[in-house]
Amino acid sequence: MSEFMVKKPELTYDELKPNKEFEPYQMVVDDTMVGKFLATIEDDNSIYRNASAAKQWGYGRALAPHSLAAVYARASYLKNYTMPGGGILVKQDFHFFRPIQIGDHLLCKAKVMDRFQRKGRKYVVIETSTYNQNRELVSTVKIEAIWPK
Amino acid sequence: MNRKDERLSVFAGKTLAVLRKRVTQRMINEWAEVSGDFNPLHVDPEFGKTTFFATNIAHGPMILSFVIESLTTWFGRHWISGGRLENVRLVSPVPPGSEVAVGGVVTSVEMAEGSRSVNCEIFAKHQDDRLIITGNAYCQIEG
Repeated sequence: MSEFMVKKPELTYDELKPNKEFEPYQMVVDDTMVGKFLATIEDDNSIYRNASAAKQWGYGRALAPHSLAAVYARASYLKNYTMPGGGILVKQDFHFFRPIQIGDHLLCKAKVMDRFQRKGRKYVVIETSTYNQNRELVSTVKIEAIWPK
Repeated sequence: MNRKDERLSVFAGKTLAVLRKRVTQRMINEWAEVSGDFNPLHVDPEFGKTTFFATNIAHGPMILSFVIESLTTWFGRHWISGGRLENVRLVSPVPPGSEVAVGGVVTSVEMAEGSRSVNCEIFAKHQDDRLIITGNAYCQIEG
């Protein structure tokens, strides 16, 4: 994904003030992207391969895996930044409200919920809410990370 | 699974089928491509040798994606619309070449208004049983 190769400033703790909202990140869920993602993690669940399998579960279009959240949540706060080296993910929470389907246009909105220091380490809590093209909430992802800079 | 057999058999103490994956350098490189995380700790084996871990390691979110895959397999559409995965912690690193086993156990099932609320402890482990990921999953099953 070429957008990740663009030179961007580092996202530092000083910038991560509570209630900071990031520029929304958009992701188009197409066959090619989902196929590449599934090949990467070797997930061969048939509901992602064809619409008829998805229909057996009551969905009209082929589905995309919720594990995409591990990608779009990170991208939601790094759209205009790079991650300084040495960060550690401490804790994560995921809530999946509805399916992602092939053809969806996702809008991911990230916000700093909290930041604090403990035992000389800097912690940041960021929550990403992701919506589909119908403005329906697809997922929320909350991360707590030790921020390196 | 079709709509007729969606009444899943779940009960406290039930163990969930284990998913096994071999983590390869190819997988790690491709995860870097799809996620944009090209940290040399993941993609550069030579750099990895110079670090605290003495090896490069897989991206934590990639291992987490195996957990989400398992939960989708276990709970199907009930997971896709309403699943929650909480308090997920990455406990130990995964070097390329590792085999990862993802599993879980149902800790409680609560009945409420025609549906069952299923609580699980989930894990990812190395072959020698060392934990990689711990967490809790919640799923509402109708019927």
